Amino acid sequence: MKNSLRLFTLAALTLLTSCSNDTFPVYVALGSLRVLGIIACSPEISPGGSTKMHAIISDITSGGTRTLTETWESCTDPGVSAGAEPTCVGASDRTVVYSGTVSTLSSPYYTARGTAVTVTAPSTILSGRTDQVKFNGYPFLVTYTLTASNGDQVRAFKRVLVTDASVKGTKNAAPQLSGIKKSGGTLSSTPYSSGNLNASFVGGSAETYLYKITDTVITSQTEDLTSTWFVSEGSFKYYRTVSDDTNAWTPPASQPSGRQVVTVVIARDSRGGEDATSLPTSLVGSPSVVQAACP
Amino acid sequence: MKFQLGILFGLCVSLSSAFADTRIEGRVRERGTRNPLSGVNVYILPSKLKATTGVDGSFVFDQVPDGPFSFVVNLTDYEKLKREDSTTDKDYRELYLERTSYQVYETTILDKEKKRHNNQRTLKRSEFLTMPGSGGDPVKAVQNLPGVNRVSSFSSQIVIQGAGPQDTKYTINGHEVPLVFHFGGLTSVTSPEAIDRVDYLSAGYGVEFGRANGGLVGLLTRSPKTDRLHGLAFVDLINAGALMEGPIDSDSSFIVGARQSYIGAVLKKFMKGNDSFDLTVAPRYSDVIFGYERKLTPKDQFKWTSIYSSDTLEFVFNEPVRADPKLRGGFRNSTAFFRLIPELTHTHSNITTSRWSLGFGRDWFNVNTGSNYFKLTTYALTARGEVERKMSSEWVNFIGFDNRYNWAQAQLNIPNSFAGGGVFNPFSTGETRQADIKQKNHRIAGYWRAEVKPHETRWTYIPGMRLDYFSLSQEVLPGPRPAVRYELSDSVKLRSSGGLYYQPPLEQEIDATYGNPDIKSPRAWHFTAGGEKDWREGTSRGFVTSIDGFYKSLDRLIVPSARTTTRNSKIVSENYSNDGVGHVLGAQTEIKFEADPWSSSLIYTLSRSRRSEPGQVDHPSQYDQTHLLGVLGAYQTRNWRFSGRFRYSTGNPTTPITDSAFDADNDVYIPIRGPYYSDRLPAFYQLDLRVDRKFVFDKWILSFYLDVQNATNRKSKEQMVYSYNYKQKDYISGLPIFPTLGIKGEF
Repeated sequence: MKNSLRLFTLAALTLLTSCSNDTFPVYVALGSLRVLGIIACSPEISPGGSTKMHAIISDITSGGTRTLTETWESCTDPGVSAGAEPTCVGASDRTVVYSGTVSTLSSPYYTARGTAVTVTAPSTILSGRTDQVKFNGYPFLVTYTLTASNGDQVRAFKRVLVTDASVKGTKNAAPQLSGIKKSGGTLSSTPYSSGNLNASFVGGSAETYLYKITDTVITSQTEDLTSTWFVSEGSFKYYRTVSDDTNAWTPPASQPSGRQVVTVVIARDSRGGEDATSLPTSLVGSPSVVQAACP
Repeated sequence: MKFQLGILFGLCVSLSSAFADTRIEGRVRERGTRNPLSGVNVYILPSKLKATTGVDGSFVFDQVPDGPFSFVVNLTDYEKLKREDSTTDKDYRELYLERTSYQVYETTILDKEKKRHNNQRTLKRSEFLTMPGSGGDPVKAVQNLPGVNRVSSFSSQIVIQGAGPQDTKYTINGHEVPLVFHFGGLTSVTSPEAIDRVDYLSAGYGVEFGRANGGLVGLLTRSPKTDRLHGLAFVDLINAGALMEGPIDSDSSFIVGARQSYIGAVLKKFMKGNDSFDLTVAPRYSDVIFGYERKLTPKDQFKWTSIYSSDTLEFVFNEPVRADPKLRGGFRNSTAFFRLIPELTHTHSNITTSRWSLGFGRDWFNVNTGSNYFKLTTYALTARGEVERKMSSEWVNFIGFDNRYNWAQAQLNIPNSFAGGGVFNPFSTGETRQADIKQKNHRIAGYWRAEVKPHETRWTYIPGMRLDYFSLSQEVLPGPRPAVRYELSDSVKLRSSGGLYYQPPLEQEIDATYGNPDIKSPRAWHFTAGGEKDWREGTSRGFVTSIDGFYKSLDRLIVPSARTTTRNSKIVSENYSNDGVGHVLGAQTEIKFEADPWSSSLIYTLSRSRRSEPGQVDHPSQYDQTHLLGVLGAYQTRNWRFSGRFRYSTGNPTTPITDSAFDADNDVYIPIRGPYYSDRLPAFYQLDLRVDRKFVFDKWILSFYLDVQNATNRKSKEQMVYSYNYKQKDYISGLPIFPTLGIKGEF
C-alpha cells in the first residue's frame, strides 16, 4: 500500500511539475561527461559464469582536453533495490576488475565505447537462496566510475543477473538494434531535415520469458523494449520511445562546426539487456560489431 | 317600557360594535431559519396587551380592539420587532425576529461530559465552517489546533506532535475509515454541513481508541433536525452539493447530502497542450452521506449513518516519464469506500447506559500505470461497544471493546521503492514484485476506564487499561493509560495523562514474502501535563489560556532494511526491521480572546522530534518543526464576518543529496544521500483571509464566502526538485494565491 501510494504520489507530482524547471540540463543532451549505457554481452549468467562488458561514454564539450580514467569493480549486490548504496566498497567479495585510462574517445565526436572488460560472478552467489531467487536471478553488481582529470566524475552501475541453470534453461539475451531508420531507410548520419526516426530491432529482440511469482507459481511475460535518444544538437520530441515507435526529429538551425550531429540510441529490454547504435554509425560500434565481440 | 328596552338594546349593540374584540393568533420564528421561538413576550400597542409564545412559538390574543395596532417584540440577541398591523387584515400572523448576528446561529453546545480525554480538542461546526484557510472543511480546520505539524501545501494530512502521517488514525462516528480526504487533502470525504464536530486526540489520549501512536482525528455526524424539512445547496469553484434533512414521523428523522467535484475540468484546461501526457479522466470526486435517527423506545435510541466516497483520475503518458521510465502508458487511480454504521444507545437505568455500534464497509484502491498495478479490495467490519455505569456519586466505570476485522485481497505488480530520508529512488530502480495476496487481519481490543472524583477533593482520578490483540503479528499488548485532573480553582484546571500505545505493522511490512513476518508493532510511551485558566470570570469577554507539555518515547519503529537474513534455512531479504527509535519533546499553548464582536486565538507549539536507525546518526524526524505559530482573528457584525489566519512554521527537515549513480539497467540516476534530514527547507509562513456574508430572508438564508488562501501570494518552498543527475536543485513552490468563492442557500 505504501509503495502504491508512492506510485500515486510520484505520478501526481509528475503531473504537477511536468512544466517546471527549464533551467536544468536536458537528460538526452550530449555534451558533458556522460555514461550513456553499460552493455553486458550476456546480461544473465550462471554462478561462476562470465560476461564481457563495456560502457558507452561521451565527453563532447571538453574536446579532448582532459584525461579520462575508467574503474570497474564487482561484488554481490548489497541490496540496491532495497536502498543500499550501489557500491562495492566494503563488500567481502569486492573485485577491482579494471582501472585505466580511456583511449577510445577521439576527435571530433568524443563519443565511443569504453574499454571492454570481463566480469565473473562468484560460484556461491546463489547458495542458500530461495527457489524463486534461483529462478528469477540474484543481481551481481558491477560498478563503473568515469573520472576526468579535472575532477569531474560519473558513477554508474549495472546488475548482471545470476540464475541457476539447473532450474532455468533459457537465459536472457541482450536486444539487438539493427540501426536507426527514417521513412523505412536506414540512416548513416543524423539528417539535417526534420522527420520521424525510429530505432530498428533485429527480430526476436523482445523475448518471452518465465518469471516465478512465488516458489511455486510461474508466469510468462514479454520484454518491453525501450530506446533512449541522445543527441548533441537539435532535438527529438521524446526522450524515450517504446519498441519501434517513431520519434519526431527537429534538426539544429545550423550544422555544428567540424563534425556532424551525434545521435546515440540505447535500447533496453527491462531485464538488464542493452544495445547501442549511433549516427554516425561508427561511434559506438555498429550493432553487429558489438554483438560479434561478445563470447 | 318596550320602547325603553329597545333603546337600551340598540345602545348595547352599538357599544359592543364600537368596542368589538378580534382574536389574533400567530407564531414567532427566527428569521431565516424559521426556528420557533418559545417563551417570548409579544405586545400589542397601544392596547398594552401581552401574550407569551408556547413551545412551538405560537401566541394568541383573544381580545384585540378593532383598528390599527402595533406588534412589539423585544428579545435578547434579536433585533427589536415593531410591526404596524390592523385587525381588518387576516387574523393569523407570522412574526420573524432577526438575530443580531447570524454568524453563530449554528453553534452546537458540547457538554463537558463528552470531553473524555484530557487532551481532546473539539471543533464545532460553527467554528470549522468559517475558519479562514480551511475552506469550511472540518479536518483541514484541525490544522489550526496546537501540536498539529504542517506537511505541505499539497497535503492536508494531520501530523500530530512530531509523529508521521501514518501515525494518525481517522474515524467517522468512532469507526476507522481508510481515508478522510479526497485526493490527499483537497477536501474531506463528507459534507461538512453533516458533521457535528471534529475531535482531535493528541498524546495521552484515552483507552477508548488505539492502534495509532500519534493520535486520532474523529468526525462525528450530527443528528438530523426534527422540527421541519430543511435543505441547503452550495456551489463553489471546486465542487457543488446539497443536503436535506427533516422529520419522518414523531420519532424518526433523516439527513442526506451529496457532493460532486468539477475541479478536474479546470485542471484539464490548465494541462491542455502538454506534450508529456493527456488527461483522459480529469480528477473528480463525489461523496454521499445518509443519516437516520429513531427513538425506538424511551430507553433506546437508534442511529444509522452511511457514507460513500469515490475519487478517480486518469491520464496517458505520451512517452515513458522522463525521470522514471518505468512509469509509462496510461495512469489510472481510483479510490472508493463505503461504510454502514448502525449505532444503538440503550439506557438500562439512570446509572447504566450502553452504546453499541458496527461499521461495515468495503474499500477499493486501484492504481496502475503501464504494466505496474496495485489493486486492493478490503472488506472491513469494525465493532465498538461500551457500558457506562455510575457505581456511586464519586465513581463511574466504562468497559468496552474496539474491534476491527479485515478481509483483504491485494494484487500487485509494482517495484519496491526506497525513500530513505524522504528522498525517493526512482521506481525504475526497484525490484518488481508480483503477488496476489489474500489476507485476514483481525485487531481486537478491550478496555476499562474509570472516573473517580472523591467528594471534598479537587482531584479526579482516571485509571485506564487497554488490551490489544493483533492477529498478523500474533501479539497481545497491554496498554495502561492513567490520567488525572485537578481543579485548583473554578477557573484553573490542571491535567496529566500518559500511557503505552501500540500501532500494528502495515500488511506489506509483515508479509512473509515482501516484508518481514517477524516484525513487531511499534511502541510509544506518552506523557503529558498541562493546565487551563479561564480569565473571563463568568463573563463572555476575556482570555482563556492553556499550556501543555508532552513527551513521547518511541521504539520498535519499522524501518526499511537492505540486509539479508536466514529464514527457514534460506537466505532472504530482511526488507524491514524494528530497529528504529525516537523521541518527541514539546510544549504547546493556546491563548483565546473573546470580546464580541472580536474573537482571536494564538497557538504556539515548540517541539523537538528525533529519530535514529541503523546506518544513520540521530536525526530530526521528517516533520520536526521547532516552531509552529498560528494567529487567528475574526470580527463579525450581524451579517458580515471577516476573519484571517497567519501561520508560521520552521521549515521541514530535508536530506541532502551528495552524489548520484547512473543505473544503466533502468536509464535513471539514483541519489546518494547525505545524513538523513540534516538540512531544512526555508521557514513557511502564510496569510489566509476570509469574508462571509449572509443575506437573511424570512424563510431562507443566502450566504456568500470568499476564502483567499495565501493572500500575499508568497512562494513558500515546499519540496526539493533535482536535475536528472542530482547535480542541480531547485524548490517546488507551494500553491499561489488561491481564492475560492462560494455561495450557499439554506432553508
